[in-house]
Amino acid sequence: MPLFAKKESEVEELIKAHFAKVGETLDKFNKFIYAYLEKNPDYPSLSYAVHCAEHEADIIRHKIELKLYEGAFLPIYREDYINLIELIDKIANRCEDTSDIMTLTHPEIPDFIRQNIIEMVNATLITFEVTKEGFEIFMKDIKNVFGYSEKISSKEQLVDKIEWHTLSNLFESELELSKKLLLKEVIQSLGKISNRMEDVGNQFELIAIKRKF
Amino acid sequence: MLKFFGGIFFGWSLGANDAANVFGTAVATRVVRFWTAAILASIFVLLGALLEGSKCMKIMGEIAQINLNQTIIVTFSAAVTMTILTILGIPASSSQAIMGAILGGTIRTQTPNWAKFGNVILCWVGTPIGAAIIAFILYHLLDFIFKKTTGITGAKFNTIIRLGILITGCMGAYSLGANNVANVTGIYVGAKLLSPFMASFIGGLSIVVGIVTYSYKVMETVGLKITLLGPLAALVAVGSEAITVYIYTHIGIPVSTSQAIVGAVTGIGLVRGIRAVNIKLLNQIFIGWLSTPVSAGIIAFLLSLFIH
Repeated sequence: MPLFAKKESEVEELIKAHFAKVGETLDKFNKFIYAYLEKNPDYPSLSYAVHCAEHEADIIRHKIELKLYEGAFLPIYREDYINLIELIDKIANRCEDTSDIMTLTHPEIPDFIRQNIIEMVNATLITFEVTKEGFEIFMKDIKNVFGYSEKISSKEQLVDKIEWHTLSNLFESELELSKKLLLKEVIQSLGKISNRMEDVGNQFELIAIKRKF
Repeated sequence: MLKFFGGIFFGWSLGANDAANVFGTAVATRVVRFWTAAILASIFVLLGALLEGSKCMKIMGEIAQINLNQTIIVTFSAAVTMTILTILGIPASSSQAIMGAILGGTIRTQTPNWAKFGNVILCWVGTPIGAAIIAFILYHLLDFIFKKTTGITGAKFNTIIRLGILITGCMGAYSLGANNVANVTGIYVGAKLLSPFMASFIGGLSIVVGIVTYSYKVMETVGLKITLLGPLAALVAVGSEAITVYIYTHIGIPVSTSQAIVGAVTGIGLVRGIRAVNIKLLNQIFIGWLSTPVSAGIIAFLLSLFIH
């Protein structure tokens, strides 16, 4: 089969590399968050590491897009792959955005929401694990990916739930409004990372549906 | 050469219109460029015409005994009918045009073989129905195979579709040549003006000229309509059409590739549920059944009256 699908196989390899790089970005983001919460002075360099990993993911995404525009895959399927990589890329983008907000604005994290943020990050990592599982199945055998949209969505709901409680706690607190608003932005930005994973799950199913009769 | 003008003109119009039914999907999905499709279609049409084209020619001489003047009237009437109906946007079938023209052009001087003509009509009705049944079976078969096969990655799936569309396009072109060349020059064999081989060669070449010179637009539009079903379903539609038309080649009756593909699309619609069946397309078949032979018959009858 590679004889007839050289370009397509190359694109698939690049998509795998891109997903791995996005996973690496998330991993670096996780280290950054813990460093920030622990007030580790190295957190700006960890934020920079997130930025670098995201940039490397962008380079791979650009290579994939070039290969697709050079004629890999039928035009009818090409758009699906472009949409998929853009959605996967947005996971890394959100990690970068969140770390940027935190590095630039240095918000003080009050103790009463510290644990919630750790829980949100952990739930985001769990959501990514399910997304990764779905991605691996999608790359091995498209038709078996059905059901992953729901699986990812159920994990993402947990992040949403923690986000809601965290925001609720935040606005019930005695903090200054300006601090509340800044923290709200950080929390919502953190919540959006798993939202992008949910979008990826939906795209897996959409592609699988389009390949059915 | 003038006596073959009607047939060649008819072949040209057939190539320009009907190549879309076999290679339209490949062009619309960009599996191949137009010129690759035109070259492949030309090769396979010519192969079909030369290897099996004579099978459907016998019936032309069996419907009525045709002389030289009548061949000119019949082929010219059929070609004019095809052209006018195509311009008016009414789906026209070359098989039905030539049969209608044979009846109209000869009925003044002889009684046609109604029994043979009845068989032909039965095959016309059977074409979309047969194609629908084949599409229904093929659809379920492919669906079953896909469900049972493991490890179909995006790249593999893409290759399967590419090859499938290309192979069914070549099959369809072969069937088109084998079955429909009789419409174009079969009448000259009946009138003992050409040998079956020469008739297949001239007819095949005139279809090829039609494909190369004028089929691009029809390929784009028809191909796009079929492809709206999705590439897998489009593949089934073209494959079913090719099989159906090929079966009728062995029966020895020229049939319509356009009606075969509409039948196949209807068969796929039935798999998805009755709501997915396009009633408008079915109406077009019924209109085609009536309008094409009747128009060709009237033109041929009037021309024969005028000449005599």
